[in-house]
Amino acid sequence: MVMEKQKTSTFAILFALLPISLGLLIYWTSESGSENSNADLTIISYGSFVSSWGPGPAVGKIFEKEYGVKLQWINAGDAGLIIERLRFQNANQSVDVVLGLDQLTIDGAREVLEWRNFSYPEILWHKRLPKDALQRDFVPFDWGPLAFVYKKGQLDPPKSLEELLSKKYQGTISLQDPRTSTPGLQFLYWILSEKGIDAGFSFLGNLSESIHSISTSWSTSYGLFKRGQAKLTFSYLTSPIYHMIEEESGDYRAAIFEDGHPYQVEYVGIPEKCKNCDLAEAFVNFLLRPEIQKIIMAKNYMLPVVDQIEQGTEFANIPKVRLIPFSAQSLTRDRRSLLERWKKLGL
Amino acid sequence: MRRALGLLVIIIIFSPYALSFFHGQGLSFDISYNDINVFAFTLLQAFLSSLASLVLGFIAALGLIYSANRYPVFYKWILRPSCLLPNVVPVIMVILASLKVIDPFPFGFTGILLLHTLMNLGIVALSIQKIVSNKLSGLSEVSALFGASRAQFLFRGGLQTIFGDLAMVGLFVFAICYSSFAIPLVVGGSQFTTIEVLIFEQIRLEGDWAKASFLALLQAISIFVLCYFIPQKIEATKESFRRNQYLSSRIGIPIALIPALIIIIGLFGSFSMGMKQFLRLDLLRAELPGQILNSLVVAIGTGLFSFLLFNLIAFVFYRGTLKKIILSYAAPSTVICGFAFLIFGPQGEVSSLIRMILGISLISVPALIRLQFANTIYSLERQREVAVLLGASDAEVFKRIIFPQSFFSACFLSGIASFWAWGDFALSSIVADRSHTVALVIQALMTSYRLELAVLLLWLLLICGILTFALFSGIGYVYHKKLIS
Repeated sequence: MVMEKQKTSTFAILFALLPISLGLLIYWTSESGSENSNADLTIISYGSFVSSWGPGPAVGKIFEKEYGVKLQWINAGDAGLIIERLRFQNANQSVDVVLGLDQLTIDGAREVLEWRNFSYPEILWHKRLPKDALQRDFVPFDWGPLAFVYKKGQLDPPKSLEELLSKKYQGTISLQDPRTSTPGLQFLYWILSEKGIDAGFSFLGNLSESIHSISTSWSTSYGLFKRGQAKLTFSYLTSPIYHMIEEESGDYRAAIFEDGHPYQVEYVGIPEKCKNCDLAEAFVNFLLRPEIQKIIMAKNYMLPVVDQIEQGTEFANIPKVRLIPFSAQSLTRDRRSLLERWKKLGL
Repeated sequence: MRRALGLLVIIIIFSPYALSFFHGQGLSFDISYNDINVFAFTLLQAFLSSLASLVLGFIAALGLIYSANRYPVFYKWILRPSCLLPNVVPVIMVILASLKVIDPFPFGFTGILLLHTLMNLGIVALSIQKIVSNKLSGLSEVSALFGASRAQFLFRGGLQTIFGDLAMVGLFVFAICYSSFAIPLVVGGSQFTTIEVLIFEQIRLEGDWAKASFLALLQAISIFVLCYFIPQKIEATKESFRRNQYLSSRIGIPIALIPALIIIIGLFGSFSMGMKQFLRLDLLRAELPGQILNSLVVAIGTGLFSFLLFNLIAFVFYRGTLKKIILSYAAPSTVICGFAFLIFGPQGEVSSLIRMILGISLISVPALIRLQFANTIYSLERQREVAVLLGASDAEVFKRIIFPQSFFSACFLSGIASFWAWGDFALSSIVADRSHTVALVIQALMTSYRLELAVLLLWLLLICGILTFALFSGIGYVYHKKLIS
């Protein structure tokens, strides 16, 4: 009987061993914070910025060398999840710099955290960067107009939103869902600010014939376009430059709309709870340097916020489009009801 | 001690919910009429998807049996991995491949059912193959002696015998489709919102964790209630792969192969561009071996942790209420689970990998129990009862009856969990602080125009996944033979 009990205990101990040891390991790493305790500055951003081919590592390397410090990059995955990630950081995971929010998400970020105000240095901002892009607590580091992208020879490019309703674009457009994708939300706000709320939804209803699919993310909708299932996709005016440089293909073009284009501005911010705030501020200033702006432009395929950076590069050749100023604030306030109406469209 | 272990099981599997409620600062019970509609639609699409997967999976299972008897090498190295392929490939890839191959694609409700069926048909077929082989072989031989037709055999006794098992497999698919996110959105359109989308909306658009947690809880409760009322038959069975006219059909082979073929054909043809992109990315080339190693660690770690959980569950499984709870439990949505685990540990590689192992295991194991492990343990129930009557202790019962006979099943399912771990980026992207694994690199490549390179790396990931699956299954097979001999 005693033997039996001993055997039971042995099994119990064996079974409990692994989860307990894993728990202990987590506790240990949590307590000691040993893995990255030597990092001087922690920066959180989205996946493609932090990846080895993105601007993050290249920019970080120069900063580390110049300031003699160590940076730690945190990949938040999807840009839309940065705010939620910040909400869930525990005490051992404090962040000094948040990089990658855009004009539609900074309001949400302000609700979650307090942000340091920024004193801008003397900068010759990009001539076409809209004036309202400058915020007191968030600094723009790149930007880009949004546009429909197509492949040369596959269709006649549309010249206006109205033209998208034409039968020749039936089943050709790949869009993103505004509930799950920031470019998708940009598209919805573009239509609603251009046409007004009711007329905008009516336009979207009429657009359904032209839509091939509505994807959860930019990458899926762009993938559908690249693989030839959709002929038009909502992306960036700078997207064709990627294909020109990386794939040596001049087939990709952006459709230029006479009425203008919406734009996305990407921001960097410093939370009030930063640990190394002075260094964080130095890093933000560093991002605005011409040579760093050039790296961000070349690796992120977005326009620089500082003037004259794109001269002598493919980026200088992108069409000069009219930008549509729209106040996202009123739309953001009504986002829930707008998205409910979007759902009811049944696109 | 058994009670303590039972409690440990409950604590481990419920930990994502506990952590998420803790972070959501409670629950919000604010449910609208629209939310109820979403629940109703999610239920309907999940039910029809699982029904379609079961019907086609059954035919495919007969093809697997035919192939295992006639062409064992083809079965082992081509057909069986092919069945698992759609489940391990990132959903985005399945969507891209399917939309390319199935042209014109039936968008809307039919499209949702079609893709869900394509994704789950293979794994359902593998599971039904085991059930049919284990439980119907003897019956089919007797039926053949009496001259019954295949239809008579199946509809007058065969299907009835395995109804409970099929229901469990159906529930496995149901739970997957019930928490489906990308497929309803992309191929269904904006009107086809599932609960998972609703949860995501609450988190991302509203920042309302309390409501998201409540929706996740409702999601789990609804699966719990369904599972609770599914009849669970306990049958003593004997594994048999003997040839039988009723239990094998060559028609099932192409059906089992179709989903994998769609993915392979759909993703094929961009190798040269992928390679070109790869050669341009020096840093990625330097980092990739480390990322493969990390993926291997996560895959093996997930396999081992899952194996341990399977055995821990096998040890405590026969206790009435606990058994019901384990069988009826569904893991929370990936987003909820991911954020729940994010609070553990500091940033860094080791912590990220541990979070991935824990998270993927805790999402995979409950599903895999329903898929097959519960049947394995059920089939040993009578042996256990006899052994206990003869005075055997729990430890002896486990050591001499449960462990040897469930070893292969535990290894096989742990292999599936490790296969899934190679391809996971939904949970990993939340709990990791950098692109530690190949799957995360694939995700980052897709968000930076490099779809072709992402596809190229996907093939690498699949090969590695097949190898680790083969490793776990192989160990299971070899030691199973030794343990029962």
